[in-house]
Amino acid sequence: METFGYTGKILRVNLSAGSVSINDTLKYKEFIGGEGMSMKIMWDEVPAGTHPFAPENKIIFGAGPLCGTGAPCSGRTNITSLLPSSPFHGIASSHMGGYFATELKYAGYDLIVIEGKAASPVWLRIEDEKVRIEDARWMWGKGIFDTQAMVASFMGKEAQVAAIGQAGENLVNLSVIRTGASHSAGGHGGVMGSKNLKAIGVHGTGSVKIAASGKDWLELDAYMMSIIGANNQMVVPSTPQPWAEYSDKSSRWTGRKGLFWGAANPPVETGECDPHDMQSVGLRTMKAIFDLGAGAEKYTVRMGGCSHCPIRCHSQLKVPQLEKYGLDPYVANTCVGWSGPRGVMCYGIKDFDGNTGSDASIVGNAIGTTLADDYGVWCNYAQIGRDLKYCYDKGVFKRVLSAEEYASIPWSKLLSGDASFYFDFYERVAFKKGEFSHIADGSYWIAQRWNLGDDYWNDKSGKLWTRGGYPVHHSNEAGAQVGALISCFSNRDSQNHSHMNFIGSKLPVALQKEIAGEIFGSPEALDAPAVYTKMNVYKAKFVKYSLVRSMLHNSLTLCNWMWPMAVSPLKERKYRGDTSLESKFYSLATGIRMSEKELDETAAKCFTLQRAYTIMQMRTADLRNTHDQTTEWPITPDHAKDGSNIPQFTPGSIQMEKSDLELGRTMVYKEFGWDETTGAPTRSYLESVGLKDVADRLAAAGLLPG
Amino acid sequence: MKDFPEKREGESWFEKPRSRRDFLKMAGGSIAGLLVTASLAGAGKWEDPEAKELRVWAIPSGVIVHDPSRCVGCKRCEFGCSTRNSGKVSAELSRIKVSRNLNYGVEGVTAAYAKADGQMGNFRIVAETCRQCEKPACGNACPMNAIYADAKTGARVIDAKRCVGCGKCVQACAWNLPTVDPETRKTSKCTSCEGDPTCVRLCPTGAIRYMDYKEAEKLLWGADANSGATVVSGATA
Amino acid sequence: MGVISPDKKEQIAGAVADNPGALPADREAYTSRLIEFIRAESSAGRLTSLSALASRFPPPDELSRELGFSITSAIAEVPEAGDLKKMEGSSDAWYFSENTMTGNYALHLLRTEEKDPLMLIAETVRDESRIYPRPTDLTFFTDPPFSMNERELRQALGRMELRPDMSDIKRCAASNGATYLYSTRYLGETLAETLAEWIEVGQKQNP
Repeated sequence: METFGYTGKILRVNLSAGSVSINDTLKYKEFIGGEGMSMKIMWDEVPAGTHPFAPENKIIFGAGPLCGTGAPCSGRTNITSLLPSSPFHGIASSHMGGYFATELKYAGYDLIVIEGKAASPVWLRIEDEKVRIEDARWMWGKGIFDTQAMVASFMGKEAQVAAIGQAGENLVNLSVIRTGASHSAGGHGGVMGSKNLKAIGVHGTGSVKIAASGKDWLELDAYMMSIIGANNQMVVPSTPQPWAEYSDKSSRWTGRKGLFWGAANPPVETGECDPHDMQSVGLRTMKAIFDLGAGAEKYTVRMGGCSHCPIRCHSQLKVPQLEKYGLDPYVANTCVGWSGPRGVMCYGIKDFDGNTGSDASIVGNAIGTTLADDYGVWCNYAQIGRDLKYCYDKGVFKRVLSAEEYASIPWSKLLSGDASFYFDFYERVAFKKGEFSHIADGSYWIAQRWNLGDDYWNDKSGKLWTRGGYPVHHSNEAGAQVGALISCFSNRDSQNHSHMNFIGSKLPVALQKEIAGEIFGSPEALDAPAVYTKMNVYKAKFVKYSLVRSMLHNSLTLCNWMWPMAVSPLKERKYRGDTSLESKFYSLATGIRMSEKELDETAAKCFTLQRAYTIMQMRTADLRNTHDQTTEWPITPDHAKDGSNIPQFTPGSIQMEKSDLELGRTMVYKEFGWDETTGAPTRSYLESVGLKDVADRLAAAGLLPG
Repeated sequence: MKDFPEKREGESWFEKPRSRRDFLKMAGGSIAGLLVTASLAGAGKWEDPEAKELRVWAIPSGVIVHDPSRCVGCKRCEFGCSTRNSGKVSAELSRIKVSRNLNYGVEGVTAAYAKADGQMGNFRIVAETCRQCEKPACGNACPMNAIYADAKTGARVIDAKRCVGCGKCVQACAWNLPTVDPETRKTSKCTSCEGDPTCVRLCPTGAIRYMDYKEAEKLLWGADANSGATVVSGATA
Repeated sequence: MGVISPDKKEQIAGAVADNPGALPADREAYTSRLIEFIRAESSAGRLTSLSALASRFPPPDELSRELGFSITSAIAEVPEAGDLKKMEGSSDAWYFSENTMTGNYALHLLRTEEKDPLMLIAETVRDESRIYPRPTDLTFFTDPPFSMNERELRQALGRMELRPDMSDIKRCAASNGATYLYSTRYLGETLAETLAEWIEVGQKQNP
């Protein structure tokens, strides 16, 4: 039977038994795909209390019905499992871009569910319907780049590979699973390592079927392309340009006259990218100068990115100086893939070893990123660098390391900004050398192990958002309570840009408020930057929209760094976007007609399931007080120069206020239909969405409110 | 009466030519000296003095050229092509081939991958596109006469009614560009989408152009025929 | 919808400008030439002044003798030229086509053409403080399309301090040393400082 969007097949791999089997995807259709289906499978099959590194844990690589269909920005792979760095090993998802999910769909699979543990290192080889578990003894111990090349040498050059490095092999909590040149999924590397699974190679020669006609599908694509902006759906260029009413120097729409991919042959000018010009969409976001400064222009070969995405937000650089350090000269990444490693040089990168000025910064950063990407070390959204600084500044290392180990670490390089410090740092971390390497356990575990106390959690410059041990990620600085509350609901850094792709559009605030009014019911949903107002129900709706859309995107999959399309760059549309596009693409691809509201409510159900699982793991229904609380610094007023408090909601302050945030929680719980006291899902909500079994299990465990 | 060139002694139809010279040898002639005017629609046959039968093909008006310096590996071209032309989305069925060279270039993975073409090396992406060859090896190899020059564009297109999916055209093509669809058991190849190529329209960086055939010749058949690096493209269509 | 490449735009603009030839006495034909030129210039990112039109395309005697004839009225009377907008400068008027240029961008160009850097800075800063609202980084004025040089900018800023009608324009600084301007008509000091700090430092710390 022909399936549309979905392939209809879930690949099941039992590494203990060495067996593979197939399940029917459509059994899980009501959970959409990707993350939604993964939550359901974990709920059904992995008991709360399982250790992330136990064979009973499962790791699920999820594509969704839109992967492989060509829908703009549909290349991400969702990975769901238990998270080693979380205090309670919370269920969480990581994501990697690149081409893996698309290839998986062309091979004929919607998801891969992996359980058990192989007796010795293996890799999973998927070639259409042929699936084999292969011996990985010669790959084990290799970095991620060589591992991918080895898999491709077996499977052919077209294979897409997901792999761990030495960090994942050694069960480092902060380790990644990577694919391609630059795409990382943070936090689950050790789960693969614990299963002795080194890599997954996929090659697919098949196709994804679309329910709609080819003509209609291409028309929908053309419509979406007409309203797409630049990275993070910023719709305003960074410099004044004739076609644009507005400009904003902080915009990621950096394309302009005289700005080149400087290392291309011949150099490619980004130019003034009129939003009606469909052949310059991929030139709008020259991300290298955005991430690394103006000096990066000459190193930029091109912009890259993920399958079926026209935006291209990964900077691909040629940095010849890297060869001096025994590294390959080509390095690529985006955003925190650069700034995470840069943060490890927590006193800055200065001139070193003949590298000066902006070159030193770029060469140094490139060393860090290359090592992190090869060893497969995660940064906990740049938190690892802040933890390093805290522990050095506060004498923690002096206290917890032996004198010998302390003396063996090249601190002088760190302090003087010599980026060759990275070689020592990443090797220690990836190979778990010494007590120092516990810096990569994750903030909660570091605090436990090294007795860091309340000061650590409440240090504003440390940016830890909750006692779950993860940092700010578009939190109170992003739409006041909207960002702040979004960040409270995950079991890791929130990885949520649903709100950013609107708040950060760079349109004038008045215009954004108008649009917010149309989407959320009132302009009050959106505060102007640093002009914050008290919590209101419209902000709560904005929070729900953001959480739900992130789950939806991780389920379809679509890139949450671009979607939803709340705005557009078109003056003739008054800059309005189209938030119903997800449902349009889903309906046309699968033939399952879902309205915007219906699809959102389905994603809300999936999000609620994640919530229910978290309750089972935390063994309390009172998520308000045990899970959803921030650390102290976000709710502490700033101080004026004379030491007096600057009250929250004073223009200029972005601090939150405790009771206001509690009200916010209540409002968000209400929007979801959860219990308003605890934030736990109620029986009536669960039954209304067909999750009676979830209600029953929670009730049996005494974890259902009321 | 045979419609395809004789195989010379010692040659195999299954050997992919290593150079354009090899390719021309296999095709049984050289490009120069075999020009025909566009007034010969479709293809005719004539006997050359060496008693070899050759089909005569009208020159296409345009041809697709891919620029590796601008390609960003998004694969929208593959999605657009396969959707428009096969009604389903696939890299394998796309008539413009990017996926096969995306990670490790045309040569494939070697120990020196880190500096070679491809995403895992120097980031250069070389797509393979149909050259709409003046003497198409695919067309001349087809035992069913299923490949002909489109009356409007001159693109070498496959008549699906005649095609039996034997794959001879795939093997004959120096780039193995035609693709047999295992679901339909028909072969497909680039038709230039009737003169308005979908890949060109969907490319977000203008890396793919539909050019006048004569202008494109030096880019497609130059000393470094795969590079396209001599193309200095404007940022807009 | 195709978009013309920058080189092509320049080519068109040049072709229109360089071939005035004999200007047609027919009003419609003459006005078409003007409209074509304005549109071509606008497409290339430039304004067209009334004085430039008059000198490049001097109206033939037959037309200029007509009662009430002026270049301005001739253009205004053409219904298909609704996309052409006219802005009044202090000593000239300026045209652009809103098909290829927004009014906001045209205003930047107009202010540059006025050759009054103090007014350019003050008015731009006020607009930014009002519209977005945000303080304005000094480098905004040394970058295109203003492209002031550093000395010019410093002198202008110095002279602005002495202008009572510009007393609303204040400075603030981010912690990395970047200097911003804002208008107190629309932004308070604390907010301006916070926003400057966010733009320069905060955003990079929150990628």
